[in-house]
Amino acid sequence: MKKKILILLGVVLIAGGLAYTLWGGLEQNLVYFVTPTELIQKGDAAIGNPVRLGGVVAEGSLHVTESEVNFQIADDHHRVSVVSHVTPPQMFQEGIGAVVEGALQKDKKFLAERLMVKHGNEYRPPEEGKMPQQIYQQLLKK
Amino acid sequence: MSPLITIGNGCIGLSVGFSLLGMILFFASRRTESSSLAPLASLAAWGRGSVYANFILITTANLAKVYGLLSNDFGISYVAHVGSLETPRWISAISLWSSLEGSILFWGWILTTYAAVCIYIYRDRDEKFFSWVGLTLLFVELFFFLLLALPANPFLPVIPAAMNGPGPNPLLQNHWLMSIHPPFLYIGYIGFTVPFAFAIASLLETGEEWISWARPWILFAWSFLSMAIVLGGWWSYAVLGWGGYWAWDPVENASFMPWLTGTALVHSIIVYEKRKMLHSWNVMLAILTFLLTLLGTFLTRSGVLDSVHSFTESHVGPYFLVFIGITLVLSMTLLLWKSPQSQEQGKVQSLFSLEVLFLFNNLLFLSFCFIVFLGTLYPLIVEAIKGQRISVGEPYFNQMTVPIVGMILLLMGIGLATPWKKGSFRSFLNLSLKPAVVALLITGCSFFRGARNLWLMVVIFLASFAFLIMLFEVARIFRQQGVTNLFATNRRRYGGFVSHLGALIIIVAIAISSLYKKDHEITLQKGESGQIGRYTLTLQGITAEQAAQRFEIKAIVQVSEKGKILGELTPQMNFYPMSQQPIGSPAVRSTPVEDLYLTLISFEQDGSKVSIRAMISPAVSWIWIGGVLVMIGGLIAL
Repeated sequence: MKKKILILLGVVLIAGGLAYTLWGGLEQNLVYFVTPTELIQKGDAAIGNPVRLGGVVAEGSLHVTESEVNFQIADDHHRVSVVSHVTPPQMFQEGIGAVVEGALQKDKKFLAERLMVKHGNEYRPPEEGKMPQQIYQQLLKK
Repeated sequence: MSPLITIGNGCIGLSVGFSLLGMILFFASRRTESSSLAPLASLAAWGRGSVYANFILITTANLAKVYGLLSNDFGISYVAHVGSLETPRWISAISLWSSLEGSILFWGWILTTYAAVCIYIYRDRDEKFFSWVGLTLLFVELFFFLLLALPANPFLPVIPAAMNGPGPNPLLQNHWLMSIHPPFLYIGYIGFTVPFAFAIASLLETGEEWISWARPWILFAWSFLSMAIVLGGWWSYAVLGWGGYWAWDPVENASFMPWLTGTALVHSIIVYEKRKMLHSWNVMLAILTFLLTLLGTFLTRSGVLDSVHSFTESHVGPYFLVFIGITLVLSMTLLLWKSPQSQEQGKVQSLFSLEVLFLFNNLLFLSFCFIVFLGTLYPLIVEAIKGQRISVGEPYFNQMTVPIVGMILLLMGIGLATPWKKGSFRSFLNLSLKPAVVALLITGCSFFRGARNLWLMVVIFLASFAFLIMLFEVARIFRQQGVTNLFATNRRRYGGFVSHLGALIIIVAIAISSLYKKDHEITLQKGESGQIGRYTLTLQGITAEQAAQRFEIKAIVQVSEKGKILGELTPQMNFYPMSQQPIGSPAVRSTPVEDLYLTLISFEQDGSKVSIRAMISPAVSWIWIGGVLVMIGGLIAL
């Protein structure tokens, strides 16, 4: 009898732990990957919810100042304006695939806490002007 | 066509044949009586011969591959894929495991080595039992040889031979740790195949002794896996430049899950040896651990995850899924069908006994594993069902696992003061009162030194409690027996102490470094200084150099504290010809108290200005030290 109660207790504990894991832990901490189109479709519901926004840094949209970086993340249909206060990585440039982590603000600007360049597996030589040799020559000129 | 291709494929093809043949021989050998006078006459001896043959064949294939890499034989697909004329030779040699096909080949080598050593050591033992062991090992080998023969063939011809190759993934040629992390991981991971084979054999042939046979193999594999996980964290810290060592990344979790069940197993085998309890439970854990190593390999190698370990698109995924499925179904069927026969002799006499605490330990490690499993696979399941891409954030893992680690720490302490069978409250108090008081004092001191986080206090208390109980026991032995070789007294117990000490150090170091890490960004003109914590950083200049395989930009930063120059750090950025993005190399000044960690974020092309991310993480180097202790302890206890 005592053994049965113990086993029952164990089962209840495990089931309780499982439920807590699923509903308490997991669902609260999901981060969704979205494209600009998906983010815009969500409308006001997207405001304040942390997501990862992936797309291309739109041509002509990147402005770096002392305190902040402004640019737009675009897919084929829509663009989202992004503002961030972190220093972008070296290769962060227009036309590159990027993922930014943060949330849409009330002013419809996306405040990013992390800027990541998409690490493609495909190898592509660096673009003109970004070639190591040219960087090298410029550094030597000083 | 390169002769190496013929050699390599010949070896792989033959070993597929030998695996099949050996399995048949082992299976048939159970029906014949063996005679020790004419060992070659027995079928099992021929079965063992196939295991040795596979070892020789796969060793040859690996040597052929390394020779191909060292001699830049671009007529071989794998070499054309990961080799290059410019790559330093030592990196070329270790490129054996820098991409999918080579890593499976290397896997095959470790596996055949394990199998050959195991079968050789036990060649005179219970032949029926070890025929099943041999059969199981060959079954696993067969799967990996089929991978090598079909979807992951490392010896495909390239016609005409390429002139040069791109070199290995830049991330993998950046640090010396790349030469030891993968072998350690493989020795750990693959080592769990042997206990698995023992467990399966124990279900088919009464081999009640299997646990004591499997014990050294379990501990050996576990020790290497423990070290490998720490080395992986170290690599991530030293190469990736984000200043951390663990991010609950699926790839890290893949190595961590079998470690968790393996750790449960390391403990539960003791219960069987001492109390003849939990027999089927041990069988189950050995099987589960092996399955999790396969799952981990599937996750990292099939390309379902986006990571440095997934290499490129590959076709091994379905093979792994089918093999995991077959292994799961076969072993679970065996477990359900056969396990009632194995008698468990011991009975729980009291709830306050070491065996019950071990049971709790096992439940905690399994829950830990389940939490990690869920967090790792949930995104894959959601993406498969709903097509929605999500990731499970770090807070999930931290929030769920910190309490479990706390409970494990608690058990670590009280377990050392609790005897088998039936504990008495009085002797428990005797053993634990002094440690508890001193642990409270230590916690109080750290509170006054500024540790104001509740969890940190709990961790410090429980860790110092567990440490002091060990310390008091060691002191008692020294008092009783003079300066004695502790490990000669009870090698297993004190080997365990060393591992536990390592684990305590790691847990405390993780707690401190994650709570008190400081992260700064600083932009410096040439000659300018900036203050980061108690350090003054001065940018002395930027250099650009063409190294053999890459182009390097270095920021030379002088570090000083209160006017005293501590040294120079050179965080750098490496440009590889075939890679679009530069790969940074952080520069770290490591002391026992804290690490100063610099990464180069960006630089002006005229060399006038750089942005640097500077992190100060306390206690990080203790994690690596702890990892070494965990491993050494496990090896002492073998």
